[in-house]
Amino acid sequence: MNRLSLAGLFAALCSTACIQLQWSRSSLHQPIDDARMTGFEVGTCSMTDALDELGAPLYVWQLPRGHAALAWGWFNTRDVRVQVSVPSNSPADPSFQYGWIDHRLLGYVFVFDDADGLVFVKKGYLGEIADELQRPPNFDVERAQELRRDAPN
Amino acid sequence: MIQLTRFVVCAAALALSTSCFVSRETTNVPLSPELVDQLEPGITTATEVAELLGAPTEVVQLGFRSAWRYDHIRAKRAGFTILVVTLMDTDARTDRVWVFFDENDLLTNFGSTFEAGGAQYQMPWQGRDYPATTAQAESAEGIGVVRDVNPAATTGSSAGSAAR
Repeated sequence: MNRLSLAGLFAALCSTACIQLQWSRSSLHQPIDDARMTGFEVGTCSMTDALDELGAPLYVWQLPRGHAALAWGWFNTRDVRVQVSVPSNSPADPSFQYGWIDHRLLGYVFVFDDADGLVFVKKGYLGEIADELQRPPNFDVERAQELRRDAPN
Repeated sequence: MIQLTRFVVCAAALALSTSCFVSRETTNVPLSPELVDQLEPGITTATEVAELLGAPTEVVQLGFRSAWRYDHIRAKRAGFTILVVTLMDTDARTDRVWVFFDENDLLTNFGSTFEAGGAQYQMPWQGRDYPATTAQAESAEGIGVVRDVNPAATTGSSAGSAAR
């Protein structure tokens, strides 16, 4: 083996620490099939119906006027990237801790009134929906009506 | 002889430069479906829930009402590296129970999800296995669509119906 081959081999071994082609997949929680969402109609669905069909939500928080928001969500991503650094962590670290809403999570937010009747449901990124609802304690029904008027048909 | 030496050296280098790993991370103790089955909306009190399931991880105030969260998180990660190529997969799932109480601390609703046991060690190209009731819904179709808003709706929820 000549010196050039040895140098190439040495360089390849050394480069594993700083150059990485990384193919990763990360998922958090189990996705909810859209087909399971067909029965949730405002005015007829209750919190019991939602819990019965979807199980335990990820997040529950209080809204004004006795309203409550329940959110179900999941995160699923595939990623291919060239990383020029010392690998220390996954590019899409799926470690999950309960706290405030994880903005990567796609899912559904349900809002129930004080009688546990469904008044609002929306699919999207949970953090964005929470922002639209102006987060507690600023949610109000007038704002929700505006969202409805502005939404695409 | 020289070719054989090269082959051996290259094979040894490749073998030494290959690494694989698996790891598992858990948060909180597993939840018991049998204990959750003992919850009865309209009958079980907050004190009884605490005796049954222990201290909740989180308590949320909902006006005069409240909701408690119990959870157990399990994440499994597997991967390997060959020279400069790394393949990695992480699957994190949770067991969750939310219990809802009225102003008298009487259980009105509860929801439970037991997914943590389904977390898998896989490679990125392998299909994710989920129970039949929840097929994969990775599509982002429908994002941003408000289906309805009707603040006047006052449909009551039954406190006598188990929410599992």
